[in-house]
Amino acid sequence: MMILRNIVSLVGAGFTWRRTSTLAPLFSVAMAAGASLILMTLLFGLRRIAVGGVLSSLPITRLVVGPKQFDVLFFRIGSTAGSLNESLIDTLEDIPGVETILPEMILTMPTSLMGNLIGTSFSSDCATYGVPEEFFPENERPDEFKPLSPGEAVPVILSSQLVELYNTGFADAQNLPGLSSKALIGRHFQLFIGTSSFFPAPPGTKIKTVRCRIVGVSDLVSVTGVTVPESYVRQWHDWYYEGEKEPKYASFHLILQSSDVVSDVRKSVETLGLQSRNSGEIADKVALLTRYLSLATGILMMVFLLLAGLGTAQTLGLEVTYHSQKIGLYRALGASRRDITRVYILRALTIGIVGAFCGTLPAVVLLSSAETWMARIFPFIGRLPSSPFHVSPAILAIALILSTGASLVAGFGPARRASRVEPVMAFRQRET
Amino acid sequence: MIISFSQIRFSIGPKAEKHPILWNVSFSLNAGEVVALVGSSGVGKTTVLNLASGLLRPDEGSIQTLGVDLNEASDEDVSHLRASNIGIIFQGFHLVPQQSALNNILLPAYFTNQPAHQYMARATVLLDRVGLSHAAHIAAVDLSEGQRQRIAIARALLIRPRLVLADEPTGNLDDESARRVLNLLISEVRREQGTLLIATHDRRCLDLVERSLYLNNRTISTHSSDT
Repeated sequence: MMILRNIVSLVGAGFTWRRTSTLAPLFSVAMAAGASLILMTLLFGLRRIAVGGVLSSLPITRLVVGPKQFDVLFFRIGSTAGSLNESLIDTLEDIPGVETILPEMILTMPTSLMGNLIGTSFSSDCATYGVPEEFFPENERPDEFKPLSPGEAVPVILSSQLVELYNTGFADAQNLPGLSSKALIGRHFQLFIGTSSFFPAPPGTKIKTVRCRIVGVSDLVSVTGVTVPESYVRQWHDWYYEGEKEPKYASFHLILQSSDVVSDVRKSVETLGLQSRNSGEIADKVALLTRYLSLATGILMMVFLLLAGLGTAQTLGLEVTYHSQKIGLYRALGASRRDITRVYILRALTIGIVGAFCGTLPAVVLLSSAETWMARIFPFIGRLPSSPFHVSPAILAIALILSTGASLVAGFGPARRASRVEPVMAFRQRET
Repeated sequence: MIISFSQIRFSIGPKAEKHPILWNVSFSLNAGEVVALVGSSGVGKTTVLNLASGLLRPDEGSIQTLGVDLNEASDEDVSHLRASNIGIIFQGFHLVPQQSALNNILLPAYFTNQPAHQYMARATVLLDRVGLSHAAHIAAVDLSEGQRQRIAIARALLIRPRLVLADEPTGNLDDESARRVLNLLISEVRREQGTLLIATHDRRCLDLVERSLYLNNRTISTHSSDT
């Protein structure tokens, strides 16, 4: 059996490798390596942005738990929105993975509001919710959202979707200007506790009028009403029912320890006869999109690698035909079938390694310069949480291994053919 | 025993239309012998050499070369036998045309289990012995037929083979050149204490060998070169 050193020498000098038969597979392997590197870099870059930038900003670990409800034809079956008791807090606290519980209390008596916006009076029935300050993340929490001294207007947070409702459904129809959420901040309105247009208070029952001031808007609060600090709701509840009824809750917001426990906590909540929702649907959609992107990238890479492999296999196959007399001579002089196989495998490996480096090097340069000039054309690129053009060593290694591997695998067919060259048959085609 | 052929049958062509080349061929070669295998063109001399070196396998019968049963040996074993113990001078020389004379002589060293460069000194000596030291770096394609013949001889002797198989080494050479080439080949083989089997249709070489084997009608008859 030939020793490796002799095989290497023979690959280098024992054959007269034609320029085209070297450059063609080198080029195709280089193309595959470069394309793989660029595709993988962009894919992983986009995934990093999607997962690290977008998904991490979503409140995936915030689970909203409410009464289970389902629709049967025209009817909604299940408990009403304000049917959750305080005792549930202890039960929910016992679920593994739950870090904090933020209750959303609701006033169960009728409430309504009346105000003035851009010279137009409005009144509406509404629900009244009470939440603790911690209900809002620190960066979204208005400073004024806290219990104030008697006589001061009660701070209120409205749903940001109400602004959308105004702009899309009301402003156009009434020829009023569109408003941003800032237009609402600081405005006052009156809240009536104990009466509404649907359930007017019978004579002799209690009614309280409260002056409120809008201090913020948020996506976290219910769109169907106004949200005030929890202590106000508790106070109004006790005043109305005089301690005869327990306060009720519309929902409990569970803050979970990590996104890993979401699915388990949701299952536990289900077993309590409750239902839950979070931003997981968005995460699922992003995950699905990245899966499709990965699949498309994978298919493209496979096509490039396949083309490189086919190019290498075809060129090496032609070389076997071209060198068959020489292969026959080497076999006659003592090279075994395995030696000839190793010569061609080493040749394919050399093409793979050189081609892979020749392809990845310009790709790295291209990606680095692309980052600079793309940021000039599209400034938002500079504000992304991470660069989609950053080449990681792992991706570089994968691109090198894949393209070298494609060339190596492509070399097996021609190597096998070369090893089957019969010296006597080969000599019949006179070469020398 | 260096070579032993026993009841060898060999045919060519597809199974249905087999054309017999050798029929019950038996002969043997002892160590140190210089033997000519004589026969007219196309009679099967090259086939005998190819069978002896394991490049072909017989249809029937058994061949032992340097103690290796070629019918039973694996490709790896037969290749190793050729690489380490058999020197072959092909009828058409089969030099690598683009390679220099020295590299052509060095070629069999690549198939041994020693680094090829270790044979460089021996290749240079052989080049000198065949009188071509001045042509060491000339490509084979640029050498004359006689020079290429001598390179082929030197290449066959590089690994100090115990058996040298020479196929028509005098080829189309004139009397003087043929005698010189044969003398060179025989003296070099004897110097290395090897065994030589020369396949030839050239009766000019009969007086230089110890004995001759005659290949006729698909079989071999033995005659001493003295007779």
